[in-house]
Amino acid sequence: MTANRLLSFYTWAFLAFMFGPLILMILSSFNDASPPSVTDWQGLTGKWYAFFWRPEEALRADPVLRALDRERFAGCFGNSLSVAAVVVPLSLILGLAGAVLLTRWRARANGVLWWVLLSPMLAPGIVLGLSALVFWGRLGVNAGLFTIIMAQTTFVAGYPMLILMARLQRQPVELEEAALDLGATPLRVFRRLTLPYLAPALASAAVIAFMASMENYNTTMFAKGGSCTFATEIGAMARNPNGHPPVINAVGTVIILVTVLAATAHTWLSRREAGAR
Amino acid sequence: MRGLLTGYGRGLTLFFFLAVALWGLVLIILPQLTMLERALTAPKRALDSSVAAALARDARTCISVLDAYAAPVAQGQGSSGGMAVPSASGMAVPSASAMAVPSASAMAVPSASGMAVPSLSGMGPGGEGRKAARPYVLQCDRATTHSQLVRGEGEDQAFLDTAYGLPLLAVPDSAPIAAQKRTAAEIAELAQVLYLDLREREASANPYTLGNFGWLVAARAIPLSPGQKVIEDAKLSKRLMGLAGLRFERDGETYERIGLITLSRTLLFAVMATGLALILCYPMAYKVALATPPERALWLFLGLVIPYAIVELMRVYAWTTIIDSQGLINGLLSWAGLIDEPLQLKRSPATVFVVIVYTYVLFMVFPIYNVMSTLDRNQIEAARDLGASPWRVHARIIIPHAKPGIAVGTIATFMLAAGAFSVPRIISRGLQAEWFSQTIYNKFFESENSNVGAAYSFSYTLVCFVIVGLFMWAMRTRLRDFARVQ
Repeated sequence: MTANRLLSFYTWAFLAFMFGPLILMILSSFNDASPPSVTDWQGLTGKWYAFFWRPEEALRADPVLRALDRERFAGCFGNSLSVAAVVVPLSLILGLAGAVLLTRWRARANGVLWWVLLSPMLAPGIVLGLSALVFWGRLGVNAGLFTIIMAQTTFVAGYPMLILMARLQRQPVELEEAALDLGATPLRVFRRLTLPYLAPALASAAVIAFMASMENYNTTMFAKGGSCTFATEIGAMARNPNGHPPVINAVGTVIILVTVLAATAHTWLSRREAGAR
Repeated sequence: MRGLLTGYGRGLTLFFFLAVALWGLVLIILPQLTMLERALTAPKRALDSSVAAALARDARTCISVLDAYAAPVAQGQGSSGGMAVPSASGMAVPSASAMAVPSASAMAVPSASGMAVPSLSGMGPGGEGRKAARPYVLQCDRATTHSQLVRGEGEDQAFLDTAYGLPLLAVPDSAPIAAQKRTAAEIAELAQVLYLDLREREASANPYTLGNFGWLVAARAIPLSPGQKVIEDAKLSKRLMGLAGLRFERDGETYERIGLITLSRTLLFAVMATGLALILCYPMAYKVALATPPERALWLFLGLVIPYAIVELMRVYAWTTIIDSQGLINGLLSWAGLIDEPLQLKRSPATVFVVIVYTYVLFMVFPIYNVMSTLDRNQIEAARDLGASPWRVHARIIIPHAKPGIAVGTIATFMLAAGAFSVPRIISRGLQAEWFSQTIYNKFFESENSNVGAAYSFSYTLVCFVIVGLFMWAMRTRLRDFARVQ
């Protein structure tokens, strides 16, 4: 059983590699040292979190925090939310249409359609951002939130498409046929049978599309023009040559916490569902 | 088509087709075509008409600067003032034979102005030692019909005056101000006419060129001192470049094809990162999918999902705590007394490589895991019972079964690693040799010719797709596997 033990050891090493940097990031978010550090412990502090709600005067008194622009950060985060608010529904619609055509449309052109619709997921993200910028610029649209939305939708729509396709392929045809035979209009069948059947897949597709839109950096950097999103702002702060403030670590810690909670809840729920069946 | 119509009805089918057409055309195909068009178009400022337009603009600016300069002088001159405005007497004959008035006294004496004609000799080295009639004005110096046109490498030099039969005119700084202005006005007039004419001609001519793509393969001379050269020549990477034709010597100078070098280095790193990710992920996927009881595998799976779901940028950023000059590694090493100066880990390509592997490794795990978990464990049991060694079980049962997953994971990881932009940008902060994605960014947003950036970007897409296509062909993977596996 040495082979098994080796495999277990490797598994833990791999997980340590995955979680190590994240744990260090969390630790340094509580350290009163800027730039963030774990070796140089200056004392426990919560001020990198408090940055987001402390009054202006308190921030101005702090030598590190006063260089940061809280309004700009909030604005960029708001931009991200509004971009996602358009990208998610748009990519759900496009993804659904793509999934239906790819699974149900029997035609020669189907193979071409596969290549066209999947190519954005294969292409380097930077290329998508740049081509959206060039294309819309040619049409007279300046780079900004609109080009970000277009560039992101190009590839984000692929995720709902793949998820919905998997679900559509397993859809029992009998129900649909029975409803049609009994005189239901196709629209009614779609609304009353297909959509409810797809609902769980649509929900998880929406979550994935939202996350993909929020975290996207590569495509957005090229399409953003003068505007900013959450990801580009974090990137800009992390690149700050005067030392990146541990505020980013605080944001990251919150993100990690939310992710862990969501993933655990999801696993727990799906396990309970599996157990109930 | 019929199945679609009966299943979804005419309205919905039409809607689906419209939506897909919108996605495919407006978001995917047309932007790439625009990009290709942009990549094939010569940059505007390289066109002859742009040179003419720039000349007209320079000449006009020159006049207005001279106006501003002459005004206070004219005021100071009192009675002789109003003369600063030259009469359009048509005296400014562009012939070289005209009498150049070199006298410094001409300065700010408007009365002499009418006679002064720009002399050719004023432009040459002979002009040195003369006293200038005006302070240095860049636009005036640039305002000459002898402007160089933009030509590619290997083509002869060309100039506006010789190429389009313009008289040779310039604004010498020694001529009286009024004469200078008159000449400048004349140049502006000529250039404007030529610009309109050229623009018309260019509009009807074929505007496409491969010149932008030429930048990708162009070789640049690398300035090296003899000492440096010996060191550089000894490096293995440089020798490999020499073998590949990316680096060569001509007339004692070293040339490197910088664009191609960056491209091939990026692809090489991406391939290495993908290979490493595959080696790291296969045992992991095997462990979670097949070698753990399902109950416990769930929690292991969770351990993979969590880092996968965390914002990519945060995972990249988390490394700064480790590799900074005051970071974990340098802290530990200096605490152990192994180093005095902090290591510049940010500058090392190896760091970027490690972080890229860290960031994108999980895109390899899940496709492999998804396929592996569909394998019936009884098959493995049966093979073991029949006496197959563990290696044989992997080689004959698990790997063939997981092949589509391996292929999809490899492609996904390769594309992410090849297109990595956030990692080098955040980790190295521009402190080390660029990745190709950064080159594209710089060419597009920071160089004088953004069309070269478009050409780089288009070529990069093409190269990546060719590599992926070849890989899919070799692995007998079909695009449908992507839907099955992810």
